[in-house]
Amino acid sequence: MMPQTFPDQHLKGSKPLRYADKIAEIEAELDAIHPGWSEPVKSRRGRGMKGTIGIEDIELKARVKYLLQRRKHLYAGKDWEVVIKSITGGNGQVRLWAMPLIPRGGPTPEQIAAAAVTPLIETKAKAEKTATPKAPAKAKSKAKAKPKAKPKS
Amino acid sequence: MAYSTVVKTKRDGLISICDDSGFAGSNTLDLAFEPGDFSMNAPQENRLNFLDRGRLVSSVRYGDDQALTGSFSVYFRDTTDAAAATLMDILNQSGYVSTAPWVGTLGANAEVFTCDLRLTIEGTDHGDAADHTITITDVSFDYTMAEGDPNVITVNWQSHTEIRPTLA
Repeated sequence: MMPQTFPDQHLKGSKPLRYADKIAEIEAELDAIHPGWSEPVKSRRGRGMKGTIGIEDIELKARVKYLLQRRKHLYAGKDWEVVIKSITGGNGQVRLWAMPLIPRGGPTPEQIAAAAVTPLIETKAKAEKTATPKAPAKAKSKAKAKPKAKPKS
Repeated sequence: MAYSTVVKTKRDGLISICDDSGFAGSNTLDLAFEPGDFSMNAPQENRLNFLDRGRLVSSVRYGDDQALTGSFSVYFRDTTDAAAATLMDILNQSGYVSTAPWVGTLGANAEVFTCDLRLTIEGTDHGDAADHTITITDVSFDYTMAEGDPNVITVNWQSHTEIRPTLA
């Protein structure tokens, strides 16, 4: 018999190195507060939503949703903070949504640093490789032709 | 993470609008009492085809950006309020939205008042790794209202800085 597959069997997988520590921390907390979080959803009792992977307690559900959302973004290489929206619908049912706080206003400081440093190193290395021996001589002759003016006393 | 196999419906959605302080700020409105008809039209860049004596040549290029637009409807509940942001106050920049005040995402001095708009779609209740969001930044609104059973406000939106939404 072929094993049945579930859509959430991917929940535990290889972690990107950059945020491996944070992901491990999140997964440890998930293991502690909601054991079996990465297991397939086997059944839903009754009609409608009974909560995140079977959680009835709103506060616990909010924490699990927060951690799952953070984890998803970390896997995608994005260290985005997450906010949980608690909405009471017209029927009085409290529902929770997890959403990221996407940074505004261009790249993050890390992205700026990466973009600034990498090309400079490459450019410098290329310049050293392609530099002609005449370049220093020109610099010397320029130095001789235009001596620095002495500061006026 | 794997591609979810669960089809989502209007039961799963939440539409949120926020000002420059972001979705975690106090100036955020999560819509309720709505039919669930959020729509988005993302034509992205215009694609230019070139003809060589009437026949297409394989040199397709991008032309002008085309606006990211869409709409949604909400059942009418209230017009304006001095102590809480209502949808109509956001649309008109009146009431609490003007006195609090809400700051447009393009800045306080921008002529056009814009917000960020987001559709959040339930995922974890269906066994997905997380919930899903479609975020559109710097959106301005226009709207129509129609009386009936119920009264309905139909909001049309367009982004002024993006041709593609941010998916997360």
